[in-house]
Amino acid sequence: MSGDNKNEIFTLLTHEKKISDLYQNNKEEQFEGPSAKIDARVMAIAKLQLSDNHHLMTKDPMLKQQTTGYPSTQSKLKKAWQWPLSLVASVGILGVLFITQNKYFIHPTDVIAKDAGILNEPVMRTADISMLEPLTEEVVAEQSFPVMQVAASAQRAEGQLEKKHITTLTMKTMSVSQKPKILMDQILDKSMLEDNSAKTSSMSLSDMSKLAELLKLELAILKMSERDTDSSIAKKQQTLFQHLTQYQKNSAEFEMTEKYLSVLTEKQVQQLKSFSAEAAPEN
Amino acid sequence: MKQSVKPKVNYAESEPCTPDSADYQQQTDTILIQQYVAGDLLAFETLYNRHKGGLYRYFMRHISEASLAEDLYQEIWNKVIVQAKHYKASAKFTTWLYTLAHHKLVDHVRHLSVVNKVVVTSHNAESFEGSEAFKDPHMDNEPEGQFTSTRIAESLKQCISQLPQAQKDSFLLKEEAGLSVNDIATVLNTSFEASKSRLRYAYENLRQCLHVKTGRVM
Repeated sequence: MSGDNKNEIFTLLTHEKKISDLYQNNKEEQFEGPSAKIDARVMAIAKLQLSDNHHLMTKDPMLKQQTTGYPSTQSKLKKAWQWPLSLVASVGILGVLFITQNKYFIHPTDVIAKDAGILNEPVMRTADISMLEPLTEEVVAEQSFPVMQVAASAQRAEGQLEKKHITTLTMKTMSVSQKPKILMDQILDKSMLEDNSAKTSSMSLSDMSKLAELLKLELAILKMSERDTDSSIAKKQQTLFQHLTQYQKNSAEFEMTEKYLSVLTEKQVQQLKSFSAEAAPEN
Repeated sequence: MKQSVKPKVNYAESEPCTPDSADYQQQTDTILIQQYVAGDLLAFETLYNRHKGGLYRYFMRHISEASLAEDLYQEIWNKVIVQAKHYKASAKFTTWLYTLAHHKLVDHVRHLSVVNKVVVTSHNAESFEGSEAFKDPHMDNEPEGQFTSTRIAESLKQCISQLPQAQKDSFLLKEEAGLSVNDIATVLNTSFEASKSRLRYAYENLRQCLHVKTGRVM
């Protein structure tokens, strides 16, 4: 066991070789080694470990593969199909998700259509809202009924219309018909107004005055745009008429002014006049 | 040509047969340890018989106390048995075995710091000069021709025990384990040159020591 043949670079010198030989000879002569007791103990441990490993390996084939270094046919198949199966499973899951959750997927054409819609409409709304900011401040300051908001906005819109002096009819139609309409749509919830009017048993005089002004404005717009009578105007006229009638009944001193008569229909005007005529002799 | 490992099932319960059979003796250490992991106890027995003497003497030369050396020797084989399944064929078995042994020895020396201190201080110098300490007390009384081989062997043992730790380690790894300088460097975690230098010093110191003890020029 001198190791000279194994060592390619390191070679023993003469005196080193002598010492090496001397050591090797002595080693062989003296038979120096562990006792039989130690040998038996080590072999017993080795045997015990082997039996433990055997029990483990029978329980766990993967451990057997690790220790023997021979992968089983089953594990070979598993390894070979691991990636394809994983890929197929992933695609399957994605497919199921796409089918079941299709409505949550955004189609590019939908996006374009929605964007187009957004571009057309809200530009006007945005501009109108900015115009209304001071109005809302006023409303908050006064803490008045929604009708007052409507009246204020209507007045403002009317003033704007008069100042602008629109030259062409088209321009007039565009500017006059759109702006107040949008203003009213945004500020005043018409249905709310109507509901409130219906629910309220008696509208105050100032509210009725505002409503009359609003009607006047709308009628003016209607005339300018040369459109047919709007149903909402008719409803408002009816509401105003009902309240005026009720008010007239309750308050004998109330005088029907031109402000109200001008915004009502001829029929309503006549009815109101007949009611007032009936009320007068009674008083 | 790569030799195939024959996995044998339930060898732990198999009938004992002669471990010195030609089949096992011809196998390399790597094959034998793999066969043992596969369940062949006889493979381990062959491996054990192959290396038990060298490892035993490695510990005995390092530790003067025989019982302690035997304990460490047994611990190493226990470790080999337990960690056999983690053994990588890329490493030489002898290198792996003696690396475990060297680490065990270092741990032991560190643990017994007093012993370590004594060893280091007494064998600190790399150079080993002949002194009266190596002189055999019987040498003056006995004529030169009467030195028997046993006495020379005993002197050599004494000289080895007095070598510095690093030199002793290198010498024993070469002579007992038959490791190359490269493998010695791996086990001791040093460079090739350092291992080579230590070996040269070890042989030179032993030569001087033997000369002092026996009066013979090697």
